[in-house]
Amino acid sequence: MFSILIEYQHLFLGGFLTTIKLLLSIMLVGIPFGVLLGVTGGRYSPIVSWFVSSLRFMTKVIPVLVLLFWLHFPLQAILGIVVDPFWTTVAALGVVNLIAVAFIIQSELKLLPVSYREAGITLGMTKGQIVRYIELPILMKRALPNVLLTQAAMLEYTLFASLISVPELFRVSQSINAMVYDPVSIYSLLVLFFVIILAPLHIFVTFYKKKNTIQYD
Amino acid sequence: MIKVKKLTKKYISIDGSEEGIIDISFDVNQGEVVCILGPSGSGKSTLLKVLSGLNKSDSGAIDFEDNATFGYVSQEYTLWPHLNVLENLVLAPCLKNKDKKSEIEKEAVKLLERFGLEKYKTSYPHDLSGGQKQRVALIRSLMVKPKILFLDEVTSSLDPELTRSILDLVRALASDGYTMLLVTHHIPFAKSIADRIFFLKSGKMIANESADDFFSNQNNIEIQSFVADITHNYKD
Repeated sequence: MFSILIEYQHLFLGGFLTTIKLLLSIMLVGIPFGVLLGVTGGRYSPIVSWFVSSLRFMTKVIPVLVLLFWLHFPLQAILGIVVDPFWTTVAALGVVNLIAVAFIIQSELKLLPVSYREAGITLGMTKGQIVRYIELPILMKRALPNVLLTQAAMLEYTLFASLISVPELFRVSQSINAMVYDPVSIYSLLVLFFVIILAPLHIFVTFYKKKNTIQYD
Repeated sequence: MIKVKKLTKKYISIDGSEEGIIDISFDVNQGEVVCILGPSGSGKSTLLKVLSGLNKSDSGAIDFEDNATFGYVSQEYTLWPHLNVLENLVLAPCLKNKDKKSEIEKEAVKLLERFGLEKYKTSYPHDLSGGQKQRVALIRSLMVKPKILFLDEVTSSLDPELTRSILDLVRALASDGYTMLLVTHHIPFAKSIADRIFFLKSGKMIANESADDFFSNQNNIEIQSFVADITHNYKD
């Protein structure tokens, strides 16, 4: 198994880097904008909240692969443009990630008891201090596990990019298998890759949840 | 110490009815303990929220003599769940006086010792009983050195045994000389602690009397009936 890895290391490395680049781009789109949208929906705007909830519903009923294909083929045909499949994947998964993160933040903000904020106000804390020392830490502890699990799901979704010819790890593995035909070794390597990346993440989330569980009264 | 003139705050409740307070005026003197009584939806909590600045009034004026500071404790559990007891107590004062953290911590420990809670200083709110949470919340409100305390049904979610521990603490604070306005349904407690009683109904103050007059020489049949009902319901 590892002899194939060594022999085709440059191909595997290229696929690995493309996968990581994809994931980072998806996170870069999803996390900051998702947090921004979630905070707006959860705290300031019922319309944005409704919008986020509606989009969340849509991403639940439309499979990610269908969305990816729709953006890659029909939409580009309608608009008469050709977009690099890498960026099509970033757009599709980035939006799915953004909506998921926004929904997590928005939901947690709505659950956050107003009385915590009120206690801060009556103790003379400023709005900024309340956000920094009370709301943000609580929000982090409650939302972080779900945000991390969403990023893990995004890593898994990057596999779909292979179907629109993005040379990520799965696509590269298929290409190597087409050359040497050793599916057991090649796909076992793929299994190993995902286990190495995702197992620690899931274990971390489990421990983090146990250690940082915050129940509201 | 507190002068309130024609204070009005109206809002629409969840069931669509208009609630709040209408044209409320009163004075409270330094060291006075005022219990606010009245049926649900009469505006008791709204009055305390407006006085403590959590809600803005629609009209009227509130004057606190000498820029008096105040503490507010509500019926909900408000301890911050990610901080332990000591951290809950010192966070706000430490943010104001960053260089006095150790002094503030010593003061917090002293207060915890005084009210028998020192062994819980490193406990988190979820490890405390309801009564302990409310006592810590009360102590936390003292950490900003208030002259006035607004207490909104601080025992409403507690069973009688736990209620007693809170009421003892409030009694101790009254004997310390804090000016207090407190909403309670606990008539024996109100009788034992109050200098004065405000009675609210439908947002209006229909009685502002000394506690003795309110309980001993009450002519208003509606108030008599309310006191009788509530005394029966809140027996411990």
